[in-house]
Amino acid sequence: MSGGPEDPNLERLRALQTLPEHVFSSPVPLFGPLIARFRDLWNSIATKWYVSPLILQQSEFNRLAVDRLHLQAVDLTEHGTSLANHEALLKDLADRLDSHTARLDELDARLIDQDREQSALTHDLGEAAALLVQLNRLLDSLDRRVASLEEGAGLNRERA
Amino acid sequence: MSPRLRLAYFSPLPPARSGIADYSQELLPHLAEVADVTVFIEDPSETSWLAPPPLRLLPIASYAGKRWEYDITLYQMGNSFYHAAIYKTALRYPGIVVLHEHGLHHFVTSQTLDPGRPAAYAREMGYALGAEGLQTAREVGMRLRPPPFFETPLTDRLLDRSLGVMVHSRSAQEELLRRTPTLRVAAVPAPVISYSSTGHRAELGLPGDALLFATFGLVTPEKQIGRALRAFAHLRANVPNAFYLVVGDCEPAGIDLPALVRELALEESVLHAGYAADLDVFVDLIAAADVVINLRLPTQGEASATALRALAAGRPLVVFAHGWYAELPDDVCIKVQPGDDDALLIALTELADQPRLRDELGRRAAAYAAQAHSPDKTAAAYIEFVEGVLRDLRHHLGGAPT
Repeated sequence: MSGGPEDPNLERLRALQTLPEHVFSSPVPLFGPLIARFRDLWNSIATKWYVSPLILQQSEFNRLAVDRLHLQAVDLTEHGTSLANHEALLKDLADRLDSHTARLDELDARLIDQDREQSALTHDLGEAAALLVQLNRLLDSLDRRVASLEEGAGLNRERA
Repeated sequence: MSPRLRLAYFSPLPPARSGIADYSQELLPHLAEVADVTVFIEDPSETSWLAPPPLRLLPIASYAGKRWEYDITLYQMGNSFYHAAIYKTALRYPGIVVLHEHGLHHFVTSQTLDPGRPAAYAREMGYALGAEGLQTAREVGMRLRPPPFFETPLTDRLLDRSLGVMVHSRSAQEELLRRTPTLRVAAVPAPVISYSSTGHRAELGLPGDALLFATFGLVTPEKQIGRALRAFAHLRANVPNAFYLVVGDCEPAGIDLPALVRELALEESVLHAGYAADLDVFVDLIAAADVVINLRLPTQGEASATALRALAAGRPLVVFAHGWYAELPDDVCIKVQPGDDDALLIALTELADQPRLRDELGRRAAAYAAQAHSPDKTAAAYIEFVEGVLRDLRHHLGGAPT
């Protein structure tokens, strides 16, 4: 990813951020240094007094801009790393969600099975209860018949 | 000879605004002639019905401690909130369910979604349909779709627990057996009493030559009142002395009857009598009608008490030919294919034009109701089924005792 602290483009910008003052020179033999000295002198009279502040201002602006770009590049790198971490986290969460959903579906299916099983047991209990009532009824009937027989037998004994 | 059965009987009773309350009011005296019956309702002090002796009324709360006193418990189960306590008891203490409609989805939503219990609704949907049901319940909970009221009956839990089920139509019986082949299920005739009534016709303020069509019961979209009134509007273009009486409340979120009547320009010919709280008034109004229109689309396998009362009152009856209605003999009512508006208009026109047809239909209807739907016949069918279930239980659980 470009824009990081080690980005060569940013390093080039940083190298160019300060504008150097122009140094006059001349290739003329013998008089060259004199000519250059004259140009320098003339430059300091004619333009240096207002160009130098502009150069300083531009250099300061460039420095601030490069610093800012550097900070943003650092931020961008950090955000990139964070995004990658979040993507990994999201994938992990999605995997876990899939796993939980599958588990939940299994639990749902088991609960439904248990619910149905409970109904089947309740049904069977209802049948058993109904039959128990019938058995009690039969026992009552038998009790009455036995009592009646015993009463008859008692009367016969008395007669005998 | 079998000993006399001792039955616990759960049902709403008047003044509950339920056809099943009237059903039980009429059936119970006849059932009490062939069995010892104790009736359980939520609060016996709230019923306006004076139970004739030897019938006893007890609160449902007392049932758990008394349940051993009864050979079997009968639960009258319908698709309204009046059955909430009955449903809970039927799940806890299985007995024989008299299922008046083969779908209970409206009832289940009234007990789960309406009071804000979507998880309970999901449980019922999961029980009925597995994972697919849970997914549907989630979508219903998020309001992505309406509840599948007519596609999913939500009776599975109740049927799985019950010792047997009685219904009032062969189509309902076949539907239950298709879903639960091992279920003990019987189709027994729905009872109806024929009342001698002079009718309320004079009180309706109609012209002497008026031809009165009528619809009875809660005005819901399934009752197809819009379809009936549209056919009537066409008919009235040629039969200016035709009138239409609607007896029953409108559901708050259902049909806007006054708007429908305005839309069809029937303000002068449609009377809306509202809910008839008194059964006597209700049957009087049926007797006042020249033709009773009793449409249901879709049907949930219900036997229509209104249709039976119309038959018993000797009124010509128009129904859609499906479900229980299709099982009525062809010569006691006029059946049209569900949703066939042309056939409906033809049927109304024939009845309007032919007084003799109306008389003959009415006569045959009254004879049929008296013969096939007397409460004595229903009571006998109840007893036969209960004894059959007990025999089956004895056989199933070891063959003895008798």
